[in-house]
Amino acid sequence: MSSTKSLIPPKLSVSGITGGAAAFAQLCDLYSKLPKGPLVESIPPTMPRLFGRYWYRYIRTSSPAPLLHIILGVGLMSYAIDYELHLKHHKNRPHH
Amino acid sequence: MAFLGFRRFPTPIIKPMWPFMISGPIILYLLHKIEKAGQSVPPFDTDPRNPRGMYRI
Amino acid sequence: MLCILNNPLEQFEIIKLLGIDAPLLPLIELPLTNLGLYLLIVLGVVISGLVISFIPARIGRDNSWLVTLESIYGFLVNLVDSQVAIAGHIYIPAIIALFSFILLCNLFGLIPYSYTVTAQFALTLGLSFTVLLGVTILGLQRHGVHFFSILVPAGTPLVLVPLLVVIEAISYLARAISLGVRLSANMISGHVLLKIISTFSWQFITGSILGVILGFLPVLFLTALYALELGVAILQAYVFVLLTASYLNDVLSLH
Repeated sequence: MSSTKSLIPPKLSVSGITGGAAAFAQLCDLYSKLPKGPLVESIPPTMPRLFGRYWYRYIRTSSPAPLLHIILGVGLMSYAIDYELHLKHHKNRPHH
Repeated sequence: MAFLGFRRFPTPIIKPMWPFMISGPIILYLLHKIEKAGQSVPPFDTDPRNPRGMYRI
Repeated sequence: MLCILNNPLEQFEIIKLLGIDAPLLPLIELPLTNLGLYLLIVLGVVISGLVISFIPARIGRDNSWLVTLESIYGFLVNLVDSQVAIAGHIYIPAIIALFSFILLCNLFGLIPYSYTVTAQFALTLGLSFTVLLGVTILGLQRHGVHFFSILVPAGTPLVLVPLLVVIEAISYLARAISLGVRLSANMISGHVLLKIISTFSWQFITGSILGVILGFLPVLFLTALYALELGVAILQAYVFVLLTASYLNDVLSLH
């Protein structure tokens, strides 16, 4: 348990390559050597039509937009549920 | 096991997880017992949010 | 001015959304509550996130999703390495699953109007008791009767052994409670605070012309508080996983 305290600020690093500017350069070098194929320009025919278009726009390009879509979708759904369950009962007046 | 047809990940599942597979159902059963016990205490046994209270069982 | 203050604990109510009402069979209840709905959402996001991350990799192209996943993986491998060493590497998939589950539950709770699954004591205490009971079973299987030497710290004088066994046993059992209560209490306090502050801010802004002019102040404060809660959500998931790894180490190596 004594080693727990030394860990509390999380050490964000990849195992084996820890700390230092040289290590960071090494990490950048590792990731720059990853394969960079060309962007695929057609939707694979096995994909459903609607998902295919979404895939082509956001997932193929690995954009961060799906995160925003999830947050907006869950927020809208939560508002609808919360409106039905709580909010419409106390519009402009306290609940019970 | 093949992950949705992508590639095989030969990670052991039963070997590290079996103690937790035993303890999970035990704790689930105990939680269920506690929940049922809590639902039958007087102020809450006729609460409309309580499925047992709804039917006065 | 009419003061409206709703119960800030109302957001943690479990409400049945869909369900089979079986009055003839009162023991069979199969409801979908709002808690279950958000658990299903978390499950769907975890699985689809993995799939999305691997699709471009499959066609020979690196992508930021996979790099993000890899850095989370590296971070957790680092954590298990420092806590349990090489013997714990077999538990890395379980640790990653636990971390991503708690992290996503915490983060989805921070979406406005949404429901915080990890604020329920039943869920977090269930998780923590499962972890501790599983770890105890593992220790008993690994070490047999020698497992109980975890209750006696090394170098204890013989006179103090009965006292220390009692104290250590209590502290060992209290771990299960503290692990779950820590997570839930942090979530509940943060969300109640956000709810109360936002209610009062809204009262202040809509109350008078002064509120309209100075309304940005409580909103700024609320934004800062929200950022703090984001930090707490990530930190609590990390602390839960860290302590799980630490308990694993305790039973695997017996000090």
